[in-house]
Amino acid sequence: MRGYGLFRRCRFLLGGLATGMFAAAPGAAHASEDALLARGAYLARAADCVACHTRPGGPVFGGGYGIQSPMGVIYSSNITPSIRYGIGRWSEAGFARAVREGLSSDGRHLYPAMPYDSYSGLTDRDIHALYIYMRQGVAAVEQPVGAETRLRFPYNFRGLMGVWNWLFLDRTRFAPRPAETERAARGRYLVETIAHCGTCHTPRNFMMAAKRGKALSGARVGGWFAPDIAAGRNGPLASWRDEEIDAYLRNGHVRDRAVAAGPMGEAVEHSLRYLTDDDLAAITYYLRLIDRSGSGAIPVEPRRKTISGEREYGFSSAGSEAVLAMARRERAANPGPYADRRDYRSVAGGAALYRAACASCHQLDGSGTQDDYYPALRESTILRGGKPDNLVMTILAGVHRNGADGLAAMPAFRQDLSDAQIVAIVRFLSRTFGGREMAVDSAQVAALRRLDTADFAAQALPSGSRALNTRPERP
Amino acid sequence: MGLGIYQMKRLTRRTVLACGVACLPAMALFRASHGSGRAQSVHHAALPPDFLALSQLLTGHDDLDTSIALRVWEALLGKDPEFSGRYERLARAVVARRLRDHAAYRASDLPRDALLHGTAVAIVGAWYLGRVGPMKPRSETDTPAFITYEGALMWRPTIDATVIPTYARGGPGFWAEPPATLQTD
Amino acid sequence: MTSTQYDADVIVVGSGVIGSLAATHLARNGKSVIMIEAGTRVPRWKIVDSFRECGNVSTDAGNRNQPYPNEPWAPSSFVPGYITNSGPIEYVPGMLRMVGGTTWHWGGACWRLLPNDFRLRSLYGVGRDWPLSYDDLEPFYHQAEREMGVSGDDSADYSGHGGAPFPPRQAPFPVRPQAFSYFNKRLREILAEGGYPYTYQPNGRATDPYDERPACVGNNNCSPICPIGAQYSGDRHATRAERAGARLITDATVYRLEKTPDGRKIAAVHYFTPERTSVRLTARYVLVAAHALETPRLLLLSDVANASGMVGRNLMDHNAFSLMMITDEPMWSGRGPVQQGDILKWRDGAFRREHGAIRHEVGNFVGNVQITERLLSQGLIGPALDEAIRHMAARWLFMGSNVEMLPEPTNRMTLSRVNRDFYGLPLMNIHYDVNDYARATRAVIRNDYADFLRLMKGEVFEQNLSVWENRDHPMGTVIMGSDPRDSVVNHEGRTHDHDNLFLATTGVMPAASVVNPTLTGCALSLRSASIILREV
Repeated sequence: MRGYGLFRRCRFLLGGLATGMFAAAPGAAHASEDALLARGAYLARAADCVACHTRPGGPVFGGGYGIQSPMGVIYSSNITPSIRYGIGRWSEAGFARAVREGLSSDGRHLYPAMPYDSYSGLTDRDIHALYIYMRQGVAAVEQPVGAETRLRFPYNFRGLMGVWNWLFLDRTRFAPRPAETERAARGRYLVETIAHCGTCHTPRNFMMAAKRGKALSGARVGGWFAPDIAAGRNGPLASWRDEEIDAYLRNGHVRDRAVAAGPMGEAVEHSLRYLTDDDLAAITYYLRLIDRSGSGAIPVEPRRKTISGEREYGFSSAGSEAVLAMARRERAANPGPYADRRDYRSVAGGAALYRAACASCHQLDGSGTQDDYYPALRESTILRGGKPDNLVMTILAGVHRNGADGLAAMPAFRQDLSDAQIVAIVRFLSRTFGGREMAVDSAQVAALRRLDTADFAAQALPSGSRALNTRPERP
Repeated sequence: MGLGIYQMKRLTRRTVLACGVACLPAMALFRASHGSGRAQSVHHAALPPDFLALSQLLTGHDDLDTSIALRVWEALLGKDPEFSGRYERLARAVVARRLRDHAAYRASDLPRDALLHGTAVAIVGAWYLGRVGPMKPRSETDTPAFITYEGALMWRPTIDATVIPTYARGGPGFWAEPPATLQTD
Repeated sequence: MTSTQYDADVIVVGSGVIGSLAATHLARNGKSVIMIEAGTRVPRWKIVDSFRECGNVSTDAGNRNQPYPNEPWAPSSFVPGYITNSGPIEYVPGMLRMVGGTTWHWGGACWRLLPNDFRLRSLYGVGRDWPLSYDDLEPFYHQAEREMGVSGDDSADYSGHGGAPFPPRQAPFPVRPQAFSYFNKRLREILAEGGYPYTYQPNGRATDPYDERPACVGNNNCSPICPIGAQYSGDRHATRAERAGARLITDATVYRLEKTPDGRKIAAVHYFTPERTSVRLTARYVLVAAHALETPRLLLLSDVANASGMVGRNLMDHNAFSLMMITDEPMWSGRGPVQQGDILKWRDGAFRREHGAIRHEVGNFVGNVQITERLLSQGLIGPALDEAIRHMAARWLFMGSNVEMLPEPTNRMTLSRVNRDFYGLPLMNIHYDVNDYARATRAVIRNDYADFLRLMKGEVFEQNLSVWENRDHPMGTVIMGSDPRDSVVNHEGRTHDHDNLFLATTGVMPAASVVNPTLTGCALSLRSASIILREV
């Protein structure tokens, strides 16, 4: 489930402090120890340190989480106060160097799986809060990380990262710009630095550095595609209302818009749902400032009609009957596999597969449930972007997300559907509910399947498999 | 031949309704005049052109799914090779009495005619249960002739209150409260 | 530890919940495990599709095996000739042979037995005592509940006396209870007026997402197939065992356990493939978890573990009567999962000297299928039919009354002298009768039904107080005991006759109690696995 690619959502640190921390006067430096710890904890949430520095089922901040990268697997470190295994001996200056410059206290370079190129903007004040929290607010994990990072040549030379840093690392600390409103500055700090949205949403050059001038314009994250999130003119989110963007970040879903799955689901679960209303509003405000009017982007369609009012339970609607009839035609065209209760591999009809595997929740006509517990597919952006990647990944990996308004779970179908069946479903969905059929083929699904890195059950062996060292006898 | 299923399919729901019950006598007569006493195998059983209209009259539902009418007919025939004749007798009786809707059927003498009403119930049952023939709790042989699951009319009277089993109506726990209609149920 | 002279440390025969839990536990602890499954594997969506397209089963009626694979070499139990009956009571339980086993179509009930259920003979002078106590099994109940994600009411007295929480448990249920439906809440209120406590049924449905299962949203089709996998089924642990390194061989019918020359151990396991090729596999230990009927069949076919002559005997079920009524007030059965509560008034007490325990289990089904059939049979059509369906569906109440049986050696499964399977091996004959101890519950149930009808101001829709139904809960067929002369396995689940052969099935249970036996079978299996783990 985890490990989506090099820049997945490996965020090391930081976050802006609770309400209006940035606006706080210098006098706030006299805040009590508790307030400082609380602020550090909030920063650690906002920067989502836990996502990468905790392995599944492992102790919090104990490290050992493996991040798939084209260079090999990079394992995160223990960042608890353990003297032996963690950062117990680190000075604040050393800590700051690691977070903002990717330089470990022993002088070794960190790999940019750790998004220090985003964190480099962190203010000294926030670094201090974070340092205090990581030293005093976190339980020491007295155990080794386990796996060690061993990358392929030439990436195994950490010294190379010094060159990379010289080329690409921007050492400017965050500061409000003249004429920038307080909210815009806060939003910029959150988006660019603390919540490091660009780590996923900004495309990288061949050296894995963020492309200048392309900030937040969409990028690949393992098998997933982190879309352009500009909300200004002609931006993909231009038609979203402010409260919809806020709700998406907080809950991970917005009715008739989109749901967060994969890495974004994790970002919501571990980080964004903990942000204050003001911080979420600041993020939204900042995204509104990014416009695509000069980029040749296609102007965003006005808000489509909501289908909320049309969601009615029952299957006598024209939409439901059409899907049933489609499934019926698919069966009639090739009845064999459908009638055979054992044969699931040769079932190939997109509508029939949709009805069997998806419609119990999303409903036959793709309208979801009235309460939006199961989202409508008919209006979802996932069917409209042209790229099938996120749809395919969602079908493969399912959805597992804990947003502020509760858990969402869609089962993973990686084991239950073949590449060709997923193609059939994607085509059916995009054609029937998305307006236009997406171009997708089995090879594409197979490639994405390789990036779906969840631990995977072995297929049942055929009977008499030689792999077991079985010895056939004469009957 | 009257309207075959392929022509039938192209009818929109509206045209079926417009013609529907109102056209029933004419259509039925048309069919009767072409006396179809011929033996028909299940797979080649032509759908009587008035079947949908008569189904609407008997069920009282004017929005039957036209796309499954042939399946209903085939299922009825599949379980009773004599059904064609039974159907014809009922259709003739309905035409003779100029019954144009369900209320007229009820008010007529037909519900008291065990044989003819039995045929009517068989047709209604197929549309309501989505199958013909009883379920076999401990057997896989001689099982019902299957027509439709979601399209079975038996779900409709409670569609606002319960579920068509296997299909979700919302998130967990809605069931803690009674349906909104409880006071008038 | 693993030696190359064996194919595996442990071979598990059967990939249902009971075998898969043990296989998972052993594999996770580093043992090499091979699971052998007679049937095949299909994904959930395929079963959902077959369900919606077959017409021979609904959530509350019909043939629950119907949507599942049914191969000539792994027939489901309702294939003619698979089981013949020679006794006064027909006994052919619903049963599946495929990866995951019969919990694909269960109702999800996950009961612990009561401490007293283990001591029937000592306490009430009937039946048998178990060779282990509730306390011995408790840690494994706990483990099974965590693995399966069991939801239950921590405040409930499951002995049915309306007292303090019981039986004792080392930790709360791993999953909080689902909301009682309005139907069940009203029922609880009305029953309370008559002195009948009504408790939340412990079950394997995910109240909140659990492991890889989404939350239950009340699709009301727990059996024959939960369409979304919110309800636990054995395929979960078959898959988990594989992830932990176990090898699963499907379409492989184990037909013989081969003894060592001295007869004290099992040397090898033989299975057929559908091509009728025979394969021999060896292991240090063998755990047969092949259902309460197929397990003794395999032992009889192999002439194994039967020095006592008890293999196949002592068959028990929770034979049952049932009542369907139309209540006075609309309560709307059918919102939420298909069963949520039980009346446990007769679960335990001094009455067990005289008659079996009784558990009235209340269904929460969408009743439209049976209601519509009934109304059609009365000739109702048209708008009046719609009105009547709605009226009755709002007031429909369906309950089954499960009864405790005692082990009787005469109730037995034997190899058929007539019918043979795909490989030419004898199938099964069952001779079954309900004994007087169980029959004595009839008067009590009749009284209760009269009470329930009075309390609900109900009209009988259908009442069965004459034909013993079975609940597909076979037990006792490879009975557990401390005396090798009258039992097949000891308290560990180890056969008395063969040191390295363990049986994990509800067939080992020497007392039926009155609750669904799956969780007890799972706990016993995990206990056996922990013992094997120490030795292998």
